[in-house]
Amino acid sequence: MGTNQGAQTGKELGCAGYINKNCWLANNVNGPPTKRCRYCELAFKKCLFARFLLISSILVVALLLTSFLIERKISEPLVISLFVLIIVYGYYFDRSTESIIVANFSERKAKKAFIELTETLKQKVSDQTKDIKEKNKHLQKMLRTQSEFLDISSHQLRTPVSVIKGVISMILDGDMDDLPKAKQREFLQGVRDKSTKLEMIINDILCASEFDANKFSIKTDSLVIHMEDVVDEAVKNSRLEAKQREIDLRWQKPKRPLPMIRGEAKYLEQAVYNLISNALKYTPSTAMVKEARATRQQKGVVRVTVKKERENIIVCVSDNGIGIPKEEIGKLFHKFARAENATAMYTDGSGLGLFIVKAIVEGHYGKVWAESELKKGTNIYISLPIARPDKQVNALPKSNQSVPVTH
Amino acid sequence: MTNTCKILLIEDDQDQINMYRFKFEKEGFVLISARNGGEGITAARSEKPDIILLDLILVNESGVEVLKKLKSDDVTRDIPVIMLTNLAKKEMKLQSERLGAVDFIVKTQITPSDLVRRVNQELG
Ligand SMILES: Nc1ncnc2c1ncn2[C@@H]1O[C@H](COP(=O)(O)OP(=O)(O)OP(=O)(O)O)[C@@H](O)[C@H]1O
Ligand SMILES: [Mg+2]
Repeated sequence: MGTNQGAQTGKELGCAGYINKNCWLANNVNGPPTKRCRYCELAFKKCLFARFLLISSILVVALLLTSFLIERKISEPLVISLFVLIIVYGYYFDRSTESIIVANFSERKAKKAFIELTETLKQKVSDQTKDIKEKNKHLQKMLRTQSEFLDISSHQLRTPVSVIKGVISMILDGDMDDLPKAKQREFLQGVRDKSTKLEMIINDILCASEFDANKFSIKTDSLVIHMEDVVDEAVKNSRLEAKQREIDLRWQKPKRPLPMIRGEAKYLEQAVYNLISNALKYTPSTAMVKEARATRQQKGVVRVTVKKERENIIVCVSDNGIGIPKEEIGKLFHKFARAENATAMYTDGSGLGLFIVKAIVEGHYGKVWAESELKKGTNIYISLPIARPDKQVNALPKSNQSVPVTH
Repeated sequence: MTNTCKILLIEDDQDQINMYRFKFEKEGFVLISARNGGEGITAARSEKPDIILLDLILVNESGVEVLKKLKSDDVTRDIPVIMLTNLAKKEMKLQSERLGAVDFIVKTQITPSDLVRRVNQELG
């Protein structure tokens, strides 16, 4: 019936959901296609109903004319048969129109489904590509971190080795034979320091790569311990370094015991030790500070405190050292991360210390965070949840710092 | 070998400076040290050393950058540079050789006397 053309030219008209209430087709053809009828309000020529009217009136006129020409009068049976003809024609017209509309509708539906399908396929493909790309990126990043890990570690490890080896080979070569004892000792002490350093670096690297591989967390039956004992031990181990760096390391163990926490003393001690050692490292023994009028000398001070705050024990290590640039505070708990001002001043350091602290503290269900102001100083906090007495365990103390709950 | 050969050591680790200073001074060299690239370049320009020993990893910059600067400066261009490093990466070795370093030495692989020998060889 040529209505397909109408479907194409009538695009701007009946989009989905468009209904023309006056359209005969829209009102008379049943089913979903009516709601989508695109043919109403088309140019008169293209309207199906108009076509029906036109064709049937031409039919009527033609029949009337022929019968009139033949019989010279309009007979009753002619009029009746005419009406029957028109009704039959109307019926078939209706049927075929409906089928055209239905066909058109399902064609469009199929088209839409096809488009949708290609869209979802496209989406899926692009999603998967993105996924693969991301995985690839992650892998590359991992490889880069790995090789960076090796680069940095090898540099870190070789530096002390080269001094140890160098000094010892000079001694063996007899280079130091004429040197006064005191000077010789100085070199030997250097060798000892470097071996200690080497040991520390190895420990750090092993520790970090272990924490990296599998997340550490304390067992539920870990012993309860006094955090102040742990801090006390860490401070003791830092005394020598503080003395060498000529920094005032202040720590006052609380007179009354604090509530206990659950954890591994050895690990927590390392975490606190790392913080103290950072504070000592990033604080000059004396610094000139500008004040309103004059500059004044300020002594390097590192202060360690421990206190109870709500349901937590908070350890704070604060210093009046170089501080951390604001924009770098966030990243320092990542592996190998070091701030600009630290690398500019001190070459030692692999950037593993705080990463290890974070792994340990989070393994104890605690938190660690930093507050700092550039050139003013830094406070680093560790917060650990107080052990709940109902979670008592019957483990026996294994070390002098680990005591089971008794109250 | 004249005993007034001047060596510039650009190195950020004080212990290594002490060690190499002791050895080279014992062998009759004059050793000037610089703890970063900027200082090193200034010293190279003003002191005109006979040879430069340059650490690949310096605090704020890479030794390769320092090498580039040394080689693009008319005053310091002709001073031989030996790269000293603890980071043995092939690319860096190639890069520094391309830039005109005469050697690339991994510190742990040589002793101070080896280094003296190498320097003498370069100067002699
Ligand atoms: N008390 C502090 N004051 C100023 N900066 C600090 C302080 N503590 C940490 N930082 C910054 O955080 C960075 C990371 O510290 P982290 O302990 O992880 O590594 P590091 O001290 O550089 O090396 P190492 O692995 O030997 O401890 C430091 O390089 C420094 O920039
Ligand atoms: Mg540290």
